[in-house]
Amino acid sequence: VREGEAEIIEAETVEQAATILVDKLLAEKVI
Amino acid sequence: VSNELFVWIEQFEGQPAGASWEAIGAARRLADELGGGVAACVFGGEGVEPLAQEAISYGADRVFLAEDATLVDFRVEPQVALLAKVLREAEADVVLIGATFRGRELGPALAVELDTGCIADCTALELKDGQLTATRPIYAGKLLSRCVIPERRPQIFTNRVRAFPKPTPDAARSGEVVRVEPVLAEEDVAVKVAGFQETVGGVSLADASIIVSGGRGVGGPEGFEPVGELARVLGAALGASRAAVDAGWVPYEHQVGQTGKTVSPDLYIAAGISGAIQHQAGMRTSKVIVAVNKDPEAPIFKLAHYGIVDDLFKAVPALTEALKEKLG
Repeated sequence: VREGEAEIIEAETVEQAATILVDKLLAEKVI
Repeated sequence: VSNELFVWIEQFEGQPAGASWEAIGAARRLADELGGGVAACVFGGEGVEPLAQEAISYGADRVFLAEDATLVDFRVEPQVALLAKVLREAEADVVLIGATFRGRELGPALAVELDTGCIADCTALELKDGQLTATRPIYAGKLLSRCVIPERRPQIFTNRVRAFPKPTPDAARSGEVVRVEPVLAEEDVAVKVAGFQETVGGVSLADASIIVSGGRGVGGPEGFEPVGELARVLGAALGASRAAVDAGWVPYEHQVGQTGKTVSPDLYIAAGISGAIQHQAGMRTSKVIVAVNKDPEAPIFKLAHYGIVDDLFKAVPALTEALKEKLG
């Protein structure tokens, strides 16, 4: 059970943010 | 008293519930610590015998197998009567049951039948000074409670679905299969199953390793289209907050939260969900949580691991396209 703050993905465009997020999810091995 | 841990194997038309293999995995780990064994109970209609070997491949040392017309469809009475008989005769110490809808019904009924305790919805089980200690979320997941059944036996635990890892099956494992006969005749069983109605389409929330949910922020039924598309690309189940269900945008069977389903997927993506405590109660044990919300103060960001602060109608399609690109 988690309590904390999310790591907000900051990027110039939402497309870049989405790509960064997908890379993080791949690194987490959840997709 | 036995040092053999028992696991009830849930099945529907011969198809096992994943939570049962997760329970076998948990029992196997504890049995290895205790120097004991794992016994599985497979009770169903004719044709469930292959599940006995499957249970052995997942970690059982022996299987109590019953194949009878009274056990074809799940009903508490014949299952409890037979399970209680097997457990009494074995002087069982511990029983694990997957906390599915059926398991949640079976565990307490079994506890009443055996005059013992049942700790429900466990997310961890460990041995401490020879006592099996269960961890379970309480107060909508805000606190973790550690519970024991100090005296009564057998100790009954229901394991939260997907809270325990599913073991890797080993087809080379061997074990003993013990055939048992049902305790109740059909005329002794009050409940009759009239039939089943299949849920149309989609991945079951309970079994899903990935869930994509929409909330009030999607704005209407059409707002669920990009959310649903993201779910399709991920092979995920579609979830929803109570606000979206109450508004009639998606059916109740998709509702996650205190008054909906409790889920524990590897990945939970919350789109347009503020993260009310009632919603958190149903998803806070997810392994990785992603929030997409235009309000940076939304409580969901306190719970999520990753967040995108933006309009979900931009962020969700962008995420879908990025996934298509990366996953092919």
